[in-house]
Amino acid sequence: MSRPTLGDETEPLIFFWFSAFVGLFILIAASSYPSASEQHGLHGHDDHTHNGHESSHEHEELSLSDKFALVWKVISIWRVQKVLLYIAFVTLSCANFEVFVCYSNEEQVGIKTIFEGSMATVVYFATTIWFALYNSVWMNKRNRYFILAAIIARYCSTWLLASGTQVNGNLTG
Amino acid sequence: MSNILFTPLVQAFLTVPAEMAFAKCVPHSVEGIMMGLTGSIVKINSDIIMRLVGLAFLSGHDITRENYTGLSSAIESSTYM
Repeated sequence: MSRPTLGDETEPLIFFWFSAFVGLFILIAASSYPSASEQHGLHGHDDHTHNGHESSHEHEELSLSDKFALVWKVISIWRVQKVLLYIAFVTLSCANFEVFVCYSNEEQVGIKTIFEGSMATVVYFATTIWFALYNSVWMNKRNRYFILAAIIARYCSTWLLASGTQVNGNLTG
Repeated sequence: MSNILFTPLVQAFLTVPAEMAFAKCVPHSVEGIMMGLTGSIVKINSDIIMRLVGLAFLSGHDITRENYTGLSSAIESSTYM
């Protein structure tokens, strides 16, 4: 009889802290983002040329504080706030019950917890690298292939993790 | 099985177009920060808060490996017990 609790089990807390670290890491990596997007991602955009002559890129000289001020100004727009509220509502409307299967078994057979954690690590860092490459060097490519690839990758990764946890349940059932 | 099939598809189709629209809304100089903001919001909401909510929902009920075969059976066993 395994009864999951929030305080006694250590693996879910490790997973939560690691997810918090990843979420914070994504924000810090994006805020201290290198100038790769200005070097690679803006070629071919028409809004940076005026009357056929290339204008000066003012945003390349923006400091981090100016960027945060611009972020605060952009967030204050209601059209942007609607998208953020939609994302928050969608992500807060899907409760995740899979952590019970992953980490509440006292004796696990099959795929171990540490393997699932390492797979989650690989998936998280691959996602971060994917977003960095998309925002820098792949920005001018066609979006539909990247959206399709992102959907397929998310689908396959969740399929693999869920299949591993499902094997543990079926072996003892 | 249906939960395994439809959960990633629903999450992808609900979040990816919104992130793309958000990326088109913001200026280029702060696009990395804004994508990091949405990514951190999605990560914290879906992987921390909603996992804690699901674990807190299941924490007061006896759910073993024998009677757990998925999300629907977990909810049924938790309501019956």
